[in-house]
Amino acid sequence: MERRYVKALALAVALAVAAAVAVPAATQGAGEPPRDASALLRAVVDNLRGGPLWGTYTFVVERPGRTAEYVMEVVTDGDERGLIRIVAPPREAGQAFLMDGNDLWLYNARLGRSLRLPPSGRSNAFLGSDVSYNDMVGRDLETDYTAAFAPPGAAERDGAGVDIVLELTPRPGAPTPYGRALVGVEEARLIPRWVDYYDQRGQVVKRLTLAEYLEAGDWRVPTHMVVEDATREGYRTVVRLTDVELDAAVPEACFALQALERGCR
Amino acid sequence: MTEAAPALPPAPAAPLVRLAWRNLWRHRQRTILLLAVVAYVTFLTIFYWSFVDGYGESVVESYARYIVAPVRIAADAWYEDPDPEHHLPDQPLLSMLADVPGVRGASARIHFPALLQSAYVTQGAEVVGVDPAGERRLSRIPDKVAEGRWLEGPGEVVLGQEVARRIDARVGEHVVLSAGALAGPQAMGLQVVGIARTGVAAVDQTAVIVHLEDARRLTGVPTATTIALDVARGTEAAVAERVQALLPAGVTARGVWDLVGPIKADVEANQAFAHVLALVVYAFAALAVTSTVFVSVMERTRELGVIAALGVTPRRLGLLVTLEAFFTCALGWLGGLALGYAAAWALATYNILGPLFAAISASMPTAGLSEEVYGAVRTAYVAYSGMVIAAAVVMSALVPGRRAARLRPAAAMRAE
Amino acid sequence: MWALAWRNVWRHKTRSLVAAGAVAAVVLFTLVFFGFVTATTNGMFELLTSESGHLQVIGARAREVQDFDARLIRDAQQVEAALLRELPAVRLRRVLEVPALISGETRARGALIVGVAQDEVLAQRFAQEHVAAGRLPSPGSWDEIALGAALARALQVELGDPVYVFAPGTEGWGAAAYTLVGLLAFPQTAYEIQAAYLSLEGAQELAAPSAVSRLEVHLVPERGVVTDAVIEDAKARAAAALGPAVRVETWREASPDTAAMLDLMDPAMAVFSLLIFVLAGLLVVNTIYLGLVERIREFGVIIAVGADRWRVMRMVLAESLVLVAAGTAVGLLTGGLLLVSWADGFRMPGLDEVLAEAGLPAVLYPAVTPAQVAVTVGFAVATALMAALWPAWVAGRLEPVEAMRHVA
Repeated sequence: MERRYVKALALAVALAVAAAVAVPAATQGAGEPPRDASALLRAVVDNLRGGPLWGTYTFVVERPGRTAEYVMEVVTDGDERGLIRIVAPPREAGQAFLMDGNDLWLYNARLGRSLRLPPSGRSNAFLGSDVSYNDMVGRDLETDYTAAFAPPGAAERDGAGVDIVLELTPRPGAPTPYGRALVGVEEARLIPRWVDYYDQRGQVVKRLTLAEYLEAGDWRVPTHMVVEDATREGYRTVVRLTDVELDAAVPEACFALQALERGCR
Repeated sequence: MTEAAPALPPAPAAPLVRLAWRNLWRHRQRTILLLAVVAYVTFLTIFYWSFVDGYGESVVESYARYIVAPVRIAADAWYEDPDPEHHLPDQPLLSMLADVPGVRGASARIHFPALLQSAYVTQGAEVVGVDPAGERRLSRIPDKVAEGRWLEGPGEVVLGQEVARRIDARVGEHVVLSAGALAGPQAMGLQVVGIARTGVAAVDQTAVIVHLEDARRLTGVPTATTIALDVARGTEAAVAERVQALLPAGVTARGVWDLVGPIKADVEANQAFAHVLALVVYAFAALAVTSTVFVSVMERTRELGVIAALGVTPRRLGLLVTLEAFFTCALGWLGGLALGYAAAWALATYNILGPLFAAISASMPTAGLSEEVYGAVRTAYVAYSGMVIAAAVVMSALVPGRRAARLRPAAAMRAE
Repeated sequence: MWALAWRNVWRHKTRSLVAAGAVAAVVLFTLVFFGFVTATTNGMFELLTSESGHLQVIGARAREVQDFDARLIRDAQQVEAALLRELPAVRLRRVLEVPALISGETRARGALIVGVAQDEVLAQRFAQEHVAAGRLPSPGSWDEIALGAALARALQVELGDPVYVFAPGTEGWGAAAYTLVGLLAFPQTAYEIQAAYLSLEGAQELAAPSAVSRLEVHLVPERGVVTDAVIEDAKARAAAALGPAVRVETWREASPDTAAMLDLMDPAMAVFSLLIFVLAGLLVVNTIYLGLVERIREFGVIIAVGADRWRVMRMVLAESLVLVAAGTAVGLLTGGLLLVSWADGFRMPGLDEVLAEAGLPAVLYPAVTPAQVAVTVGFAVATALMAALWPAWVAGRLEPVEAMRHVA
């Protein structure tokens, strides 16, 4: 009883703070874009991740001539940590992934064992889809890249809903194989509409398109994401986020190794 | 003949020698044929050994300068299990080693396994972290960067040509290395500054070379896994022994010959195989020399009969025949030596054999052949070829010499 | 004429024996030499193609792209069925190669998972060549793995230990646990520290259901050996039957380095043959020529008593032919017997390992082609006759008196 009260109070405070922040942001947005590209990127990544949340991802992996569907539960602190546990199809059910900064752990029910993966695994494809681990969890866009405002016409996309394009350049020594990334931002809500990853020869290799934002208080999160492999015709993955619990209380136990096997709810 | 005759009857040894010598030039065709056989056999022997030894030396050389090092220092545990966890103890080994006579340079290296990732491909790799300046003195790889340049500082990587092709990375692009050793999982983006084309398949197909500092960050190794020493060719084992005295317990210095691994047996057995093959050729060569001497002596039965009739004892007659064979063979041998060593010198000076081996090299990376394969020039070849010729002379002189010694003048002069 | 030649041969018994012996030695030596050249070349061809197959069927884009799944042949079953309809009597090795992370209890390494399903004969040969301890994973097994011995050492695992494999971004399980059942030795250390072998089914479950990286086709000759012409023909048929969805390559196209090595054998052997032939030529020329020079005097006498030069030359020719024929026959006979005695294979004592390391076959099967026999005999006879005819020619040109005084 008391705990629920505290929670409600926290929510109220959070809302008040959010409102206070939102007002100047909105007024500023009406005029010119925020001066600081890094600050903008931070806000954009916040809205990509949606803060601490629980939810269910449904992946539809499309390949020429076939599709596969995966369902998984996700819990994240909206920052560097996230736990993903697969519930369907039965073949993959029980597999779980834990991301904590550079650490990436895989639990396989068949092995009954957790494996620690090399950090470069974060940009590898997840479950044979076009989505990589760091598309779902973590702030790699912020930590691996420096942001600048892209010159007009830099993007290869139509501008619908996008007011600002951020150009991200890898920081020296950052473990990313990409040459740069462009992020299309809707200025009013500071949400990313799309992210294009380029290889080092100026070719788009991967496109993320984000839509159907769910908003709860200060938090926004896209519930529809399309990831396309731009190097291959017909390779794309449609991701839906459902049963979302935004701004949720996420216990520490979710990011301990034991959670891989047993979960934390 | 008329000139020679007066000197005959008293016949002390010296005139006999003179007679034998003169006889050579009277039977010019015969002499030239024998000369040619002997010279050719000598030439063949030297050429063959120059090739066989040169191959062996070239393999060791490419291990010293491309694949391993002239002398390597590492923990005993590391030799057993080359994992970064068996790194060298924290002692100022490098400064200590600089004063050892025979050590021209020393450079620390960290070897570690890693995943190498480009925008397109991820693959396992054996990475080596080096001190770019130290490596220049030690290894030929810095001179063989075909595209871009050699390492200058941290944040850079040089790839073997085949590695770059397989992960589709070009100079100027970056790749990601991730490793998990003492420091836990670590990842780092590095810029490809150079692509090496050494012609040594083991290097071109596997080399991933980074700065020592980056290797330390990725592995957490505070020191190094190995120290490579630059020492003069041929002194490796001796210097390794000298260095050993200064090393702490559990750390061993090994010369290149102890580092070539399975190739050592290969090279040694190659030599053994070469000896077997050589024996067959020797036998054939000796046969050629023997039969030539034999026939040329036999055909002179009538002439020898005349000389015998002039009072030369059969024993001295046998000696005369043997001397003639000896002179011809000695001349042929000297000529063959000149030709053979000239050929060996050419093989040793110009990279004639390298292109020949280039094709083999790619399909046998462990053979460690570089683009440069030089012939060897060793004084032992004088002995090798000399032995073959000597054996042939002894064999051939035995039969015809005895035949001459048994000669009965009257019968011989009638012989055809 | 022949009777005279025969008598003359016997009159100069020792000389004849030496000359015929020289010819015999040359024929014998050359024959055995050729036998080993053929054996080595055939053996290397066998060895090289036993690793790679004579033909390889790979994904249509496998040569252009590097990423794992774009290189695959997806519908391996259909491709295989179509291939076997066209080339029914072949042995197949189906291979799926998956880049993966492999780990023991304490260590992890990047590795190449190789899933293999193969014909019984190929499996036996592979096991014989490469299994250092234990065995290969059983066909169809999902939980057995064999590792390169160097890889097992690096992972600190032993037979019976569990090994974990993680193949990210693939379409199968993506991760699996295996029991280590075998240690494999490969001549190339760089491969040995990478290689991990599963059954094909195991690898497909792990990374790419029903797909293969390549089909290796081993042709089985009806008789004799598989030649490049046979391989090219099979390639054309397979390519026509399989269509553009896959690519068919001969082993030469698949591993040009190896092919180049084999091609190098011929010029290398040619150089070596040349060196040997010069020696052999000198041997024959010297014995025959020097044996006849002395007889210039005799020929002078014969011409002086009224015979013409041609008659002398015919006589010498006949005499030499008898000698050379006898020598060649003896050489062929002994050489042939030697080769026949090695028909079951010739082993260099104690050198098996070395030969294997150098990519050479340990057991050689010396054999000669008719062409090589012809070259050998032709060479011996031609040099001998030339050496024999020269003195006769000289004798014919000399005045009889000169000839009778002639000294070589």
